[in-house]
Amino acid sequence: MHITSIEYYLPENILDNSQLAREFPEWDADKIFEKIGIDQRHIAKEDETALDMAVKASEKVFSNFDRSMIDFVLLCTQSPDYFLPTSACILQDKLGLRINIGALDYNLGCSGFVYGLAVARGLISAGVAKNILLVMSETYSKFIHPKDKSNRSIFGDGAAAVIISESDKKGILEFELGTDGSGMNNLIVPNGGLRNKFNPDEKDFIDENEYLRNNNCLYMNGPEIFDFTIEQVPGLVTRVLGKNNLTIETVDYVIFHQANKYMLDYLRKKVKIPAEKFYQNMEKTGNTVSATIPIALKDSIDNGVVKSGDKILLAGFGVGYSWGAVVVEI
Amino acid sequence: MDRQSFFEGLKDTLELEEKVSEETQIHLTSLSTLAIIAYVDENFEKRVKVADLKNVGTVSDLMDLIGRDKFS
Repeated sequence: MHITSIEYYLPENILDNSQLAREFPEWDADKIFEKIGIDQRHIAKEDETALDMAVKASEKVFSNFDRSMIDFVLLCTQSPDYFLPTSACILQDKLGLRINIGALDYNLGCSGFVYGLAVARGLISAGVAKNILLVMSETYSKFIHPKDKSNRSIFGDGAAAVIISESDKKGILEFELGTDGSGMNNLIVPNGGLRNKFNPDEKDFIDENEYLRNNNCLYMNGPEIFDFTIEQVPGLVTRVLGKNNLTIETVDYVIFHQANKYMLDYLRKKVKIPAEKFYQNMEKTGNTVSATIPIALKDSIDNGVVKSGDKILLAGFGVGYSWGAVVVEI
Repeated sequence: MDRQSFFEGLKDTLELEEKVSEETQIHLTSLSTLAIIAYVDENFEKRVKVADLKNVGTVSDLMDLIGRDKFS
């Protein structure tokens, strides 16, 4: 089996650093860029949801793939249209896919693409499916407090659609996965689910990192998340390389979840990955959560950085905590 | 690590204007906390916990947290 096609969609509306600097006069646009490596992010319109973006990314991928061949849909999102029904079921209908196919949502963030590949490989290996549409679509912007300059600087909205097909090629190699739910409170939207219902009277407060927020909105404890990545990512990379009988020297290219420049610079140095085989480009998209890795993979292929036959290490890590890595061959 | 190198490294890490000494106050924000975690991990191969950093008010407190035996 292998990845046969990747496309992505970014919303039209762009939020750039100069606009953020106007909204937050104490926030220096150059400094934002220097620290996080993000110059602009695409933001979904008020009436544009992750499902709408999933449709757009999928339609792009079907410009060169016959949609009647799809026999399974996997949709990764943390911003579904409804608690129920399942967004993947609505996506099947909106895309005009066959009805004798499987479809399911799964709720993961930055590790979501790697987990989607793991499930896709399982479904194909088990003979359950032959051509899987895997979609990552996220609109964190809708969870972020308008006055939360930190998260507004980092996150952008985006969707990616990938087709994974049965074939003789070994394009999805060995995985290493990890989970630690004890980190749940460090990246969370506290209200809006059934544990703590959305509260229209929720009060704003300044958190321990001096950012304004309230419990209806996205909260990220940046230092704790950074600490988690230092703890887990180096071992994750070592183990997945070992499982694939590769080393940093023999793997062709490395794509990490595009969290922010500061974190990736540090992790790259710590894991001793040469800069020339390490993808880093979140400048025009920001952190699009589960969509960053497929967007990066697509750009790397289009730019000719990644060539046919290359072995690429993909690693995602974040909310949950959840992390995972795999080696793919394009 | 010798103390002087530590002070100079910390000055760069925290982008401070003034010369750093043990008495220098550390103002912890999200970014400075992150920078300290990275600096200590890189130079001492020791991970300081975010919760422990909350009690750090001065460079001296940070040196206690890292461990005085790590400085010459």
